[in-house]
Amino acid sequence: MSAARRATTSVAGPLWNVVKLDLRLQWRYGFYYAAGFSLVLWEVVVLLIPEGIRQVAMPYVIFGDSVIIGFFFIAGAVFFEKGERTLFALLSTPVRFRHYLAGKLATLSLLSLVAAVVLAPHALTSPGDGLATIAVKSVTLVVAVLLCTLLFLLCGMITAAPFPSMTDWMIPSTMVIAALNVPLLSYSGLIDHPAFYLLPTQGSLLLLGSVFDQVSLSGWQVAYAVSCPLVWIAGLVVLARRVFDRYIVAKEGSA
Amino acid sequence: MSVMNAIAGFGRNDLRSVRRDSIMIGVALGPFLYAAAMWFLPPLTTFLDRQYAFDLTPYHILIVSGFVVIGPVAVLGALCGLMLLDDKDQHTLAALRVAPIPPLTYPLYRAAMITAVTTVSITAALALTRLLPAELVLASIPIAFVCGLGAAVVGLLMPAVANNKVEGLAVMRATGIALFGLPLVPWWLDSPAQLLFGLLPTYWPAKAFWLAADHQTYWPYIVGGIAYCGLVGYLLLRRLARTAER
Repeated sequence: MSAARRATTSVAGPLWNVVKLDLRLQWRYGFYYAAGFSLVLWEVVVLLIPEGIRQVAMPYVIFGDSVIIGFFFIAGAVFFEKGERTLFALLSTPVRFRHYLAGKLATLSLLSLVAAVVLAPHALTSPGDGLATIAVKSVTLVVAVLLCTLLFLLCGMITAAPFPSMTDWMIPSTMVIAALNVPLLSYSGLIDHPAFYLLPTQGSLLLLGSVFDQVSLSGWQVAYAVSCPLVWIAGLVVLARRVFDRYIVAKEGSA
Repeated sequence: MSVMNAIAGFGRNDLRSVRRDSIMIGVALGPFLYAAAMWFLPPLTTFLDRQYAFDLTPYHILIVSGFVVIGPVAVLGALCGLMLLDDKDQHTLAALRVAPIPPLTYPLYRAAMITAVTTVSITAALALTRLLPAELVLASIPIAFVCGLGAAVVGLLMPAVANNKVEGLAVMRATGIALFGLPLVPWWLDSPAQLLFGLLPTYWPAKAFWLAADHQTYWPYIVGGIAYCGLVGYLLLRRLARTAER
């Protein structure tokens, strides 16, 4: 009993502290002002879109903007903490890499989730939607946004690690975003090929399409849309750990 | 003379780091990326026409102006801002105070460099889209220059407002949609009130590009853009030189 309790506190304690620290730092860096300001501008844009095509536009708005918010922020935070060496100080405390990563992922995906949840209601319901349908759509929205945001955050962190400074990473980062955006070609119907289903963000985009009545998914598609990003996320978490050890922890040892 | 020497020195140093870093590869790739996005425009137009009987052709100029004319301003401007914030973090600006050059030289050099890079990059990207007639690409050179000045303004704004690169990212996020999205709204507006959008540096080149594509007089917007970006850029430079003393 006491051993079990010790085990949970040793995991939850540092994690909670990391989350609190991340929230405080993100507040201080102005992330919330920035996200809030651009959210207000997007709100205006969404309201300007004629009602008839708002449902068509919404998956693009959420996929193209809301889920990307943390992508640059997570990389920026890693660069900054690396530069100021707070990261190494942090890791010599009971905080482990899993706490560090989980804290960042949790706080920054919350930011994207808030953005999506504020924008979505303008296009969420179709005439004749019952309460059950709206509930299903809401849950699907949350799942889609979280899965997609986690993919973007992990890609941001992993690609940032090998670069010495943020300036060097900026241009390559746009290519990462372009690569994650490839499923838009298939979703929009421009080019379609089964190979798109291997891409990490394809599933989330299909889920978003179903939330706004743009596509109707069969059972296997729903299963795919949830499991494929999860497999990618698991793989990327392992990769993040490797990259972190190789480019950040090892670098510090040699410095 | 010493100012010229200093600028040559900054340039040499940049070239040296260019070989080390991937940044110049990116800058060189930029035009291709912007242009490549536009290569999807013709198939998209055919697709929309077939699927929804919607004609996208009248919006081609708007789309090109968004992604190729003013889109790079936000990206390259942010890059310049991050470089200056890098220098601020490393106290380069403060160190240069003891150098025998006017305090504005270094940020001015950065601003001039990003103006030149942006001008060339946008002109090349416009030519590579393969959507525009040659005379419109030619007419766009001064427009690309105004974009370059806009990128310099964005680049100077970031270190003027943010204390470090992470705060710089927050500024980037907040200004991104304002620079890239809002200036496209006047496309649908036909009233003098649209000049209010002139507060955004990217409004001027966007508007000039629409007029040029329509064979109308566009030089007043070139002049307006140069004057506005020049003034804002000058004020930001002065502020930057002041804060570097601290």
